[in-house]
Amino acid sequence: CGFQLRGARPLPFDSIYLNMYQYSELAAAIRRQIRANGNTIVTDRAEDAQVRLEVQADVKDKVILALNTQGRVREYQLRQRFIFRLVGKNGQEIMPSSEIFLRRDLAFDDTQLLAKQQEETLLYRDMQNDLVQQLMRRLAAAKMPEAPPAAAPAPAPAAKP
Amino acid sequence: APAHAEKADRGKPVNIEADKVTVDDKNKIHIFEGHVVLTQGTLTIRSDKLVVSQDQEGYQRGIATGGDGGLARFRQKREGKNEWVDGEGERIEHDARSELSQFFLRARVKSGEDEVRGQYIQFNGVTETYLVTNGPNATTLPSQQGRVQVTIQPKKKDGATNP
Amino acid sequence: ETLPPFFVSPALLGPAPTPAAAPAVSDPAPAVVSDKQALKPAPTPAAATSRPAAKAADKPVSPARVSRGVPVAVAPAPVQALKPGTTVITGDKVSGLQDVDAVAEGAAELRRDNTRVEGDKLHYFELTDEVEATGNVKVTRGGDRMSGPHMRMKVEEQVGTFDSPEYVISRPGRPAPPGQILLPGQSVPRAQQPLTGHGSAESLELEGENQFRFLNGTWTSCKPERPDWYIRANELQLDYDREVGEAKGGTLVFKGLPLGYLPWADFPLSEARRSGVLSPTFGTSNKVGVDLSVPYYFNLAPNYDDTLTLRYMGLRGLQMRNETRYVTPTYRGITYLEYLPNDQVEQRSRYAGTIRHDHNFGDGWAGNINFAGISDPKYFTDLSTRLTLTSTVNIPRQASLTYGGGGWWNASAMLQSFQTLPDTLTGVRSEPYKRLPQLTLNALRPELPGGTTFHLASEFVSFSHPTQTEGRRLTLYPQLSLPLQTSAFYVTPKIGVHATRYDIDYRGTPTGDTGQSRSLPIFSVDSGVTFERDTSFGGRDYIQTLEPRVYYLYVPYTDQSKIPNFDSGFYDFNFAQIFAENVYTGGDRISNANQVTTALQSRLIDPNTGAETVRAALGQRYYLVDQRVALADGAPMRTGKQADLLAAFSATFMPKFQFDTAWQYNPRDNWTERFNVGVRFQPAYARAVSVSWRYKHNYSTDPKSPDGFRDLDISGQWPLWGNLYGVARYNRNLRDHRLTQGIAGIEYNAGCWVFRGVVQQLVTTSTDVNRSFFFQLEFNGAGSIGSSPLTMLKRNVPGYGKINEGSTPYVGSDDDEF
Repeated sequence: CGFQLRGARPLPFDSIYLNMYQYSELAAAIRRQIRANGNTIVTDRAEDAQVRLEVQADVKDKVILALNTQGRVREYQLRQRFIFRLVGKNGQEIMPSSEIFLRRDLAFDDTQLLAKQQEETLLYRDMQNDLVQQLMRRLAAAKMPEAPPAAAPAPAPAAKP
Repeated sequence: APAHAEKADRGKPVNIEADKVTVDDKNKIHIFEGHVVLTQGTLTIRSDKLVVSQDQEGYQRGIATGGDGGLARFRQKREGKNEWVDGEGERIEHDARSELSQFFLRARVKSGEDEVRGQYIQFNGVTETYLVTNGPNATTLPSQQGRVQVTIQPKKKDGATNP
Repeated sequence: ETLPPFFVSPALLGPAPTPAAAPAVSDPAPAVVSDKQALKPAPTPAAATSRPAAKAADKPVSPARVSRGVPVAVAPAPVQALKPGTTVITGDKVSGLQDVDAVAEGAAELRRDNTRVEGDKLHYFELTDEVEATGNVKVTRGGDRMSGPHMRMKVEEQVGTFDSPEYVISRPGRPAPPGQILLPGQSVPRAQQPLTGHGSAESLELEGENQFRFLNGTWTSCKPERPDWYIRANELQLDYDREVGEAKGGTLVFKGLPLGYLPWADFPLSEARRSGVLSPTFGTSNKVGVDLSVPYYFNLAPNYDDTLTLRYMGLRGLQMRNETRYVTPTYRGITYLEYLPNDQVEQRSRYAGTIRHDHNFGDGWAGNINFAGISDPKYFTDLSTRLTLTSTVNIPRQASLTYGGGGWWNASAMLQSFQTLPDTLTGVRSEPYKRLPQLTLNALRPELPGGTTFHLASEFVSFSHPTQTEGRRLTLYPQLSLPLQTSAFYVTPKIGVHATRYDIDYRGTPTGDTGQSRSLPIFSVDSGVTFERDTSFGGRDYIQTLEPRVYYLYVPYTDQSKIPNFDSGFYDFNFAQIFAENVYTGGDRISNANQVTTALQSRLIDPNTGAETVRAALGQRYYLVDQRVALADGAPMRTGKQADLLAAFSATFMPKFQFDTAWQYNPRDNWTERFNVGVRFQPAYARAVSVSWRYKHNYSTDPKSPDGFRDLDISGQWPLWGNLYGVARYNRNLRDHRLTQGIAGIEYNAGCWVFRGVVQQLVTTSTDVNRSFFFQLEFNGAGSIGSSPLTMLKRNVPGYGKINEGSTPYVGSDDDEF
């Protein structure tokens, strides 16, 4: 039915600078994933990088979905909005500002607060892995300005779920 | 203090050139025609035709009409300033006694950098006061039929002459 | 958690090249659009030249025939480009003394740069640069226009007086200054529309280009032909430099009805934050009766503000609230206090407060404080109408310090306790354990020799509790994995040893000796393949992926019945959890496992942006051994071979359409454990409808506290007709036939004012509800009156858009505290 193994999909740039809070888990995860991808390095300074990933917003929100009959929270929805832009060396825009929106539902019970807090951490980590994977696919689809009009962009590399 | 027209001009001899002169002694009127140029000190009047008359005390009164583009021209240096007053109009009447110049139709007087424009301008060289109306002979007409304009250039506060 | 997890936005903290000092917001000079270009009369050949008149003009002045005696309309004055500062006076008649003054009559007019003064008679005094105009005077300059019987003004300095003027003043909207500091929770003000205000007065003192002082004046931002509301004041000062209007002895008149007497009030003349009285808010609720609060806002600095609010409650008395917000590149936070000296109903003083502070110490060190408390258990259900508060049971009190600078490792220390409110039904306070402290050290070292990755998760926690058994727990969980990976498939075997030691202080009869320990090997193999093909769907081409995944987990059984349970509980069975190593959360129970989890996932990806639009997934787990580790003695344990079947499907075509559904099927008992489906349709701004249905199988036999539910949740905002909008949310628990949350409201936008009326009913306890009514009258450009349902609508009606976005996005932050 037309499926074949995904081919290698290198990122169309060889160096990138992550313009975000360097010490966050997300930054570490993105660095690891790009390094695992192979041919692209993450620079420590914006000047050395061919492209810059501008993180315009990385907002985590926790919204009440449902109450139980006592008016207590029975279900939360964890949301994460990640808005980013890819900018070239001299500031010209390679990828316009785009958003990755993630949602996970968390059944909640006040009597098991600590257990539910750990579950919340698991869900946020799962969202982060998902976010990194989607971000890699987006970056792989970036159209470098002077890049010759390549054929259909090669598929993105397998990212560990 | 308001600057006054060149006082010195009053005492100066009047010299008038023209292609043709006709004299009417009875009424003490001289009529000059053709490239008429009147000079008295710093005052010059140019026109196609100039009628000069004299009153009992001997003060002269000139009526200049026509000229290049149908406009008679008037030029005089301002008293105490190295600025000139330039005026034009289809008819210019200048009364030496009252130092009053009147410009009729398509009238324009530029004194220094400032300029006045209208259908009738009355300009007193001594007091440097002026009156300009959008109708002939100091009459005012409804605005649609004509406008009068006075342009005043910004002056440096310390009275220095304009750049 | 009342505020969302307090996240320090990287833009502020990262070593990104933001200026080191607090980037004080400097308002760029307003790009005043002024039509400065020289006045261009009808094009006529420039006749007069400035050469001495002696030489004849080279071109005839105008084709009009020169005829004696017949008044000839003088061609409009040919005007060369005017030098800036040139004054042009026109009229039917002008007389004057050169360099001194000029009097123009007959539709007289004075023009200089972009200022124009018209009147029946103008008297211009050149020495003092003053013009006096009498008789239907009109002054226009840029966007401002003033008209009246008499006026005298210095033209350059724009200082003077205007008798009984009518005026229109409009300033172009200024774009939000770049890099504007956003206070926690403040929404980004969009580029501001031009703000036009007009009115009339007994007299006007012009005190400079941007300063107007009216006596007995009125001001409104409505269109002249329909001034639905205006502010009338004995003295009205409009300061367009500071962009604030100040009214003394003012009254707000709405549709001819004086709404409120404001002895002193100021209002913004633009969108920027301004100190001053915010609009008072009105509302009622069954808990507090009439609810009137008047906030005063102190805009102390671009990155620091304070809001003091006096709230009068009909049934309970006067309450004071104070909220301070601050942000700098290295730290930010909110401090909020509420004090009700004497609650008439409870006959006691009641108070509440919260302190939140995030700090980036640099080099990877970051700290956070989140401390809150209330004076008595029913505080929220009595005094607040905010769902996030009325539903709170555990109020967090924690402080944490994290270090992320280690590169491949990070560490954290946290002190955490809670103020726990008693259950409204049973009155029982089930307090969670306090963690005083919790220390964690995590390390992840990829690309070690042989391509292995080392991962260490370690934690030391001291659990304390007023009544239950306490203890200290040290956990070390080193793991080694070998990720074999190509672009298409991956296999990741992993082996780890989960070792834990306890030091227990028993309460009551000890169930074992105080020292307990447990160490277990955990072995797992995770593998997956990714297939792709090009396909098209709905006329657009996509890359479709097919991603099977198999995950094997082996954990031997060890008896943990002697180990106390501090923080373990059941995970919710979902896609995040089916690939976890333990059925239980926390560290006190490690379930024995010998199981295989399989999943199949397929996505549609847009080839040119890489964006994922559709995702479908199926998951199932097969147990090869029964569950032998229980949360507590006698707790039910699984015996079946098959876990539940999980299925999920989601499609997002941003921003218009979102659909997702998830289903959990229990093959053992052949019923659905959980099912939810939700669709959201948002074709345009302020047009959004979302419907969702959630179901959970009910296990509990006690009808009074079922743990299953059938919830229907419909919410939306839609224009009814013209500019009347309907807003609604209907969240009903069909199993218990109770409306957990209901919102109904209308919004009417009349151009320069907006009316919002919203009714909300919300379950606060099993028998009690909180019914409250908010109404808001928002005057564009002058703040709003009426309790603000905005924040509540924004949180409860997804996709809600304020219909008069142009008006002041007033400071009320999106999720203000209480």
